[in-house]
Order: sequence, then C-alpha cells, then structure tokens
Amino acid sequence: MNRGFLIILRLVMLSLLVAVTACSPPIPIATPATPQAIRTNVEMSKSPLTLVHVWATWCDPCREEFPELMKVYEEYRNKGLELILVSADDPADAEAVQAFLLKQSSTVDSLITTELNQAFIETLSPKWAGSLPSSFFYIEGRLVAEWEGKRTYAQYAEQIETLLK
Amino acid sequence: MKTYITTAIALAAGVVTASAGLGIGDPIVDADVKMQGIDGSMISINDIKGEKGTLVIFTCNKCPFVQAWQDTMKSLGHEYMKKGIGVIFVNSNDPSVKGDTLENMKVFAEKEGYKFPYVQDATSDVARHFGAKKTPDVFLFDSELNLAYQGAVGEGGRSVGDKIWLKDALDALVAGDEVENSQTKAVGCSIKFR
Repeated sequence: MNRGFLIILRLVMLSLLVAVTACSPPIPIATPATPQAIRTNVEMSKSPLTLVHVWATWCDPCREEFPELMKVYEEYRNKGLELILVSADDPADAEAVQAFLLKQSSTVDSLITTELNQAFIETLSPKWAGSLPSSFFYIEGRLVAEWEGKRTYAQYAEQIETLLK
Repeated sequence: MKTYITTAIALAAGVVTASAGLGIGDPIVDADVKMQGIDGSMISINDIKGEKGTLVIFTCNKCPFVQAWQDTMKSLGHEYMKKGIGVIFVNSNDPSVKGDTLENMKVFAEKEGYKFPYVQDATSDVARHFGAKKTPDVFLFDSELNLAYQGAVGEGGRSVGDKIWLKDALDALVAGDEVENSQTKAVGCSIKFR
C-alpha cells in the first residue's frame, strides 16, 4: 500500500475519532458538596427555574423515578430549567453514583451531600421532613414549591409549566 | 413585585406542601388501632402505653438510615422500658415494595432481640394520621399521650453523631420535665404507603 494512501487513511480515521468524541455527551461526574456549597449552587443559578432533586442510588423510588426525571430535564433544559442533583449516598461511594448516572445516560452531574443532618434539611427547605426522594423548585434562589416522594413525568411537567409561566 | 408574583404562583398552584399530622402538644391518634405483632397477637398503642410516656418509632427492616440508628434506637427502647416508657416499633411499609412482610419483620426482630412489640401498620393509616413520612421517624408522647417530641433520633445523618436528641427527650419525660428540643429532623427513607 502506498505511503500517501496510508497517511490519508490515518487522517480520515483521526478526523472521525475527533468528530465522535466531540458529539459524545460529557461523562457525568459525582462530587461531594457541603450543604453551604449546595445552597450556593442554587443561589448562583441563572436559569428562570431551578429544580433541586435529592436522591440516592440505593433508594428504590429514586431509581424508579430517575428515567422520568431525565426525560423532564431533556424536555425543559432549553425552556429555562436547571436541574441540580444532590445524592444522599456516602461521599465515599462517588464511583457508584457516577456509574448510576452513566447507566441512566444522565447529562447532569450530581453533588453528593457531605451532611445528612438537620442543617442540610433546612438548607433546602424548613418544611422538608427529610424523606427520599424529594424535589425543590427555586426561582431566583427562593423556594416556590416542593414535594416528597416520587412523581411521574406528567406531574413534573405540570409543575414546571406552572412555574415557568 | 416579582416576589409577590412568585408567591402568588406558588399559592395558586398549591404546591408548597405543609407537614400534615401531629404537632407538638397534640393528643395521640389511632391509639386504639390494633396492629399485628410479630408473634401474631394484635396490639394497640394503648396496650403498651407507659406510666411516664410512650415511644412510637416508625421503622423498617432495610433502610440504611434505620440500620445506622438501629443499635441506638433498640438500646433506648430497652433502657427506657424499665423507666416507665411504653415502647412500640411500627412498620408501615407496603410489604410488596421492600419485602417488609410480617415474616421478615419477625426474622429481623429476633435477630435484633427486640423486647418490645414490632407491629405491622397494615393500611399505613397510622403513619398517615401521625404524619410520619420516613423511617426512622420518632413520636414520643407524655404520660397523657400528648406529643412531647417528634423527629430524629439524634443529630447525626449517616452515623449516630454526638447528640442523641431522643435520649434527652426521654430523660426529660422520666424526670417530669418539659422537653426542650421538641422537634428535630433527619433524612430518612420514605415510607412506602399502601
């Protein structure tokens, strides 16, 4: 095979590799965060509506709900929704959290709260009883809606449509 | 102006959920409801009520938070039964969801060596009426069966932590004092309601 052809072939393969890498969604990461850092994330959000969702890999209703939540995010991410995932897993299990996100094809990273105490609960909402999963909606850093337990895509969509009006 | 609009939206949507159920000072509900214990007998909270107070903990077999607090909850139950506190652990989970069947509860209680009743809330209604939402969720009543303490076992989350709030509340009741820190919170597993 002539040398010129091999060089062109290599260049084509390299271009294809670069193109595939550029098109691939970023790999989600799981990062430990203090309650204060989680609160700062909420306050720094520039989106019209911020949804903080607290979950855990070992929590059955959280796992059942997760695909619905991802569909919700994909539908509303370009309509003003920011999603902040907060895992209640042990920060030492960050790899398991990341593996779960990858398996779910999550396009969102997850924080892992370093604390699960009363201070953490009150960082998100003074009314939260503390059960998993739970969701909190903020506009300009201010809590405007919350619920405990899993919900369907339709229930999320209805809530988000109402709050984005 | 924007704040008012946001508030109006939230109120109109009825989406900011308030915690329903018992508040501090409220009289107990469902005290006469019979629930099946792991020995097959039917037991109500009235049956185990203590002279100094009554401790009701909504719990289960598998939740990681229950496991983290299990030794502390069990020890407090055993210790304060001897001091005039009636103790009962209630499992309100739908057994088809997490395998919290009466048989599994029995195995769990025997392994743990419970000396107090562990009962099944067969409709989850006792949890609903109390306002319990997660496991573990603690409700401690005074001698008149008015709610004196509600919430967490202690300040820790994934581990026990230094401050065991429930112990402080139990000590106060046994001594005939007011419970100072009467409402606390911790993260837990949601109750799988029927």
